[in-house]
Amino acid sequence: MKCPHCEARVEKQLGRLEGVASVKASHENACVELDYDPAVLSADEIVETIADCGFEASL
Amino acid sequence: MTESRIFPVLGMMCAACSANVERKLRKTPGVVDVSVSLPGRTASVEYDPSVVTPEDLRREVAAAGYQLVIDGGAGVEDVQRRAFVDLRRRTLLSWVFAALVMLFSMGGLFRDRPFVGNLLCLLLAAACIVFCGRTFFVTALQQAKHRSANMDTLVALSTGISFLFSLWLTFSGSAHTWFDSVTMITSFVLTGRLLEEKAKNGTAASIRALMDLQPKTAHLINLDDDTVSEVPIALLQPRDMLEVRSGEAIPVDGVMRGGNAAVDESMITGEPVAVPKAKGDRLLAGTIVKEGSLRMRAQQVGSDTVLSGIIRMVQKAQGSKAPVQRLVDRVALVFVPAVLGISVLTFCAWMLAGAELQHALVCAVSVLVIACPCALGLATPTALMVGIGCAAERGILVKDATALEQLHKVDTLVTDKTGTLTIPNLEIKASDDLAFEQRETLKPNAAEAIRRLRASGIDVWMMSGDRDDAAAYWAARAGIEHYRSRVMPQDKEDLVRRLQSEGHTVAMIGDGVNDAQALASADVSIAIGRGTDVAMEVAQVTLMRDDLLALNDAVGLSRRTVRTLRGNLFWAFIYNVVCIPLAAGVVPSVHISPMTAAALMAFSSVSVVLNSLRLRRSK
Repeated sequence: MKCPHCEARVEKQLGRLEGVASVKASHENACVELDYDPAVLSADEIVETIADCGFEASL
Repeated sequence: MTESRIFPVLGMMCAACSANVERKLRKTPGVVDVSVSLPGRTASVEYDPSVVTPEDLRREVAAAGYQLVIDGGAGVEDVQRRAFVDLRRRTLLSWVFAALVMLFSMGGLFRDRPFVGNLLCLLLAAACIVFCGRTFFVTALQQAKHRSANMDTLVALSTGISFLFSLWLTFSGSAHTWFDSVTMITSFVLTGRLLEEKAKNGTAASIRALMDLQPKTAHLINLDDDTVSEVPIALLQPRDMLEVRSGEAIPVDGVMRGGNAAVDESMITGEPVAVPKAKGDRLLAGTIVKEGSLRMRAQQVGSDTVLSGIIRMVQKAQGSKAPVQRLVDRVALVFVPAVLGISVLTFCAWMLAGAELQHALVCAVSVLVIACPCALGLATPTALMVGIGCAAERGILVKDATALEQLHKVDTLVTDKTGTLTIPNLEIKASDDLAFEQRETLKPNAAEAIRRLRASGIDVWMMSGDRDDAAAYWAARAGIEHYRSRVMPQDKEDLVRRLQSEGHTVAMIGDGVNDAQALASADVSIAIGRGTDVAMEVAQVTLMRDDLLALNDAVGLSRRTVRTLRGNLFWAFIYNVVCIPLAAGVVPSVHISPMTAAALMAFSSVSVVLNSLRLRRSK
């Protein structure tokens, strides 16, 4: 993630997933913080969704 | 490091042409290996890029009078298309000239004034040579400059001699000339080429069908504003998000990310039923969304897709040469000079025997016209091309022509068990208290496939790492007589080698990982995979459909291909052996005029290609 625009894209796509309560991305720290329900959503799916936006994520 | 590339080559007409191109490339420093395909109109070249560039190759080939195309793509199709249209135009025009010459020379219109009739025929024949037959002379000259000769040399010489001799006859006041031979030879040869081109296009049909699977555009999703735009697939990048709607073809390889759809993958795997896909499943370019729609993330685009890999492989296989072809190529290279020699010999012999100059010339010209290196040159590659193409359409990927030729000789099949004959039941594999038998399931059709193989005279051996009783159980279930239990990878190779030393031609089929050693030592190696598998790299033949019946198809196709190929070679050979002496006038009462010779020649080369195309229809 290079800019606020990238942050917004990741936040938007993650925010759409079922089971996500809140999401905050930061390009300065190169990380995404999110509250989610592990019963509904798997960590893999989060990584994949971030990949959809064109970024790589690790847990 | 060497690089392999397939270049389209334009301007090749006969086996002597492809042999010339191949020889020229082979002599170029930095070129490691060359295989030129006449029906495919391609040169597959392995070269060292630090020594020789594609531009150098182009220059070498251009010097021999042909065109090697470096920047492929749509341009080549276009040029070939235009060449075909031009050929058709010249053929039609040539027949108009031929009909007029026939009318004037035989119709009795100028019975009282033969000189006027001859003069008219002279003009028409000259026009025919200039407008329709010019290429024969241009190529013949180019060839002569390099001290070589091809089919065009024969045509140019025969029409040239006929024309010049008729010219002399006309002005020496003779009533009978052979301008009709000039126009008829040109017409027949052009017609033969036209039909041949048409038929050759048919032999390449399966590769074009594969290429057409790839759509031209894709629906790209912009994640920022959720808009969808249609873009050419050349612009797609890995990681792009795409939408594919019902009825559309998947544009690139990737992973499914949303939606609900069943996908028809028959073009890749041969599997006829559409497969339901879920989030996270792999999607392949060229497969078709049957129901529903889906979102996917692109992973491999352009030339990296599985489909592109298959197309490249089939193309390469179709251009590769079976061992028998190398012999034919050597014959083709000396064929035209030999025919020239026979023709001169015919002329001298008749003159010495005291025949008229005219008779000696007719025989010499007939020999030039009737000789058909085309039929010999096309016999093998057209049959293999159709065979390999048909195989690809049925989900059988054949990597080289040698494998297809070898497969018909196979009398012993060595098969791996797990993954080839049976599928492990992953869910219950863990519990130890189960009988062995319950850990695996015999693949549907496995027993039927083995039964058919044995019925067609192939002995089957099964190899398994299992205990003896388990191996015996599965061998019995699959209907296999010979089996080995507790084998290690090395044992598999040993068995293959032992069978070979007993004089058998052995095919090995496996799923490619622990079988690699045995696969490498077998006469024909076959992998059974799901298309995305790396096994494709290892084996000479890959069954994309996870169904052993595909193996029966492959064996059957190989047998039919080899039968066609042998038939072609036999008839092409017999044709030349019988017709050349006849044309030379060896048999007293049989006289073949240059015109008849031209018709026979055209017929023989067309019939070879048509015979190969029959393979497409055989089941």
